[in-house]
Amino acid sequence: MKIRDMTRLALVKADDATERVNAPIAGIPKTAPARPPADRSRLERMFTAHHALVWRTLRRRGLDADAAADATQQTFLVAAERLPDINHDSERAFLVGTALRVAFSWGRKTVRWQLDEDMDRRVGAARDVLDEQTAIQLCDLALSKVDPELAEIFVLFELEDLTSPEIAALLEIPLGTVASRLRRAREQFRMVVSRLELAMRREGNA
Amino acid sequence: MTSDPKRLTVVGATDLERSLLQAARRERPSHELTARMAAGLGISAAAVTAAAAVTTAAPGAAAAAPVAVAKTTLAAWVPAGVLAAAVAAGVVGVRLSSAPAPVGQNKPAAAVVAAPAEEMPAMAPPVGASTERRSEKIRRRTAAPAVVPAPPAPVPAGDLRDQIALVDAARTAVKARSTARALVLLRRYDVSYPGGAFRPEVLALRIEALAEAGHAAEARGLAREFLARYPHSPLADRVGRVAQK
Repeated sequence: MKIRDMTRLALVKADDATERVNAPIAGIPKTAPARPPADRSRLERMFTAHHALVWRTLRRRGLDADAAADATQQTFLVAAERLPDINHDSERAFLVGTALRVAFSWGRKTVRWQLDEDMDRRVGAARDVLDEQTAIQLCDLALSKVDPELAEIFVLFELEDLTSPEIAALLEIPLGTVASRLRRAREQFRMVVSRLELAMRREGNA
Repeated sequence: MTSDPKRLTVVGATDLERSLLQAARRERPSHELTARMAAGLGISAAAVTAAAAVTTAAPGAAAAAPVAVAKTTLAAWVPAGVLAAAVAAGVVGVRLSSAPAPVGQNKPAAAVVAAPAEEMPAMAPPVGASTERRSEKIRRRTAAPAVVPAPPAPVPAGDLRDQIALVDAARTAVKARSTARALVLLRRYDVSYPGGAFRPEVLALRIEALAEAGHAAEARGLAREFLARYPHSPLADRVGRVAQK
């Protein structure tokens, strides 16, 4: 179909867009529903305080930046509907737990662990920026080689500063299990990074 | 209760490990992504500004380490082209899952993630199970004034490339059966391009996504609408098959 034809068809029904925008989508709320000012204020505060953490948690689950933003929005929409049920002291845990479930519900097919195809070119073009991005990508790459149930705890503890009791409560597992999984996650992560390091040295010296 | 061990970034990590972890800790969504998320939640511009201002602050104590740590370390370790080559060669493709699973913790990661949703009534409900109910609630509220963020400025006529990218992403999501993601992308198209050139394609994709997600009745209803509005569309046959299901 030619773009010109598509444009014509779209313009024929000029009011269609407005109608569709305002229509609900099954399963995906369009935006936070109307709520009392106090709730809106609380949601804003939660978003300001935790949106980056939620987004990062989703990124570490393998979602790209855009998908992580969509999933973050979905996470806060869930929170918006559950505000009365969320203790003020456990907002962060609620959001992280919800984000993990959102990521799971999106399925593994959205996960992207591969390095950018044009990474080599970007290395040469913009080293300052790239180094930070490279480090993030390598971190994700290393995490992708860690058993998922271990990596989850590693991310929450090492990157997002949740405490072991918080993680235990969040995942409903014993504190000892958190400790053992964290230990094993560290072993696996460090093994991957050490192999990566060796490879870099070897290639660098070649 | 035992105290937590110190974070790797604080003690015990190699330079490379610390660089990778600190870079990941520093990562934040761009201002544009933050604004987009906030708009979708109906959060005020002032709150978005506040959130963006926070972006400049490093998250966590360890993140206070300068970016130069990562730059310096990686500059020493990473010659151009090495990373991709190392990965392509499978150097880091070592399979580590041979380690024994902890006793009593043999369920896969997916189950670990999903379990709290089933077992923690005080926490968020499982997303998949709650979506239908939430959707119904929102339908009932359609008469009430919703907190609708102001739509973005009209898209320039020549902005077709962005529209195509969005539609392509939605199509990819539909093919991958990631229906939730597809519906979010299609909603974003609706909001961003209310007069967009690809309205028929977007509607067709929504119909397919809804059908795939099990919302057969709604998919059929939209399919009938589509056929009434775009009877001569090349997509009509495909949509018609959905309408007949």
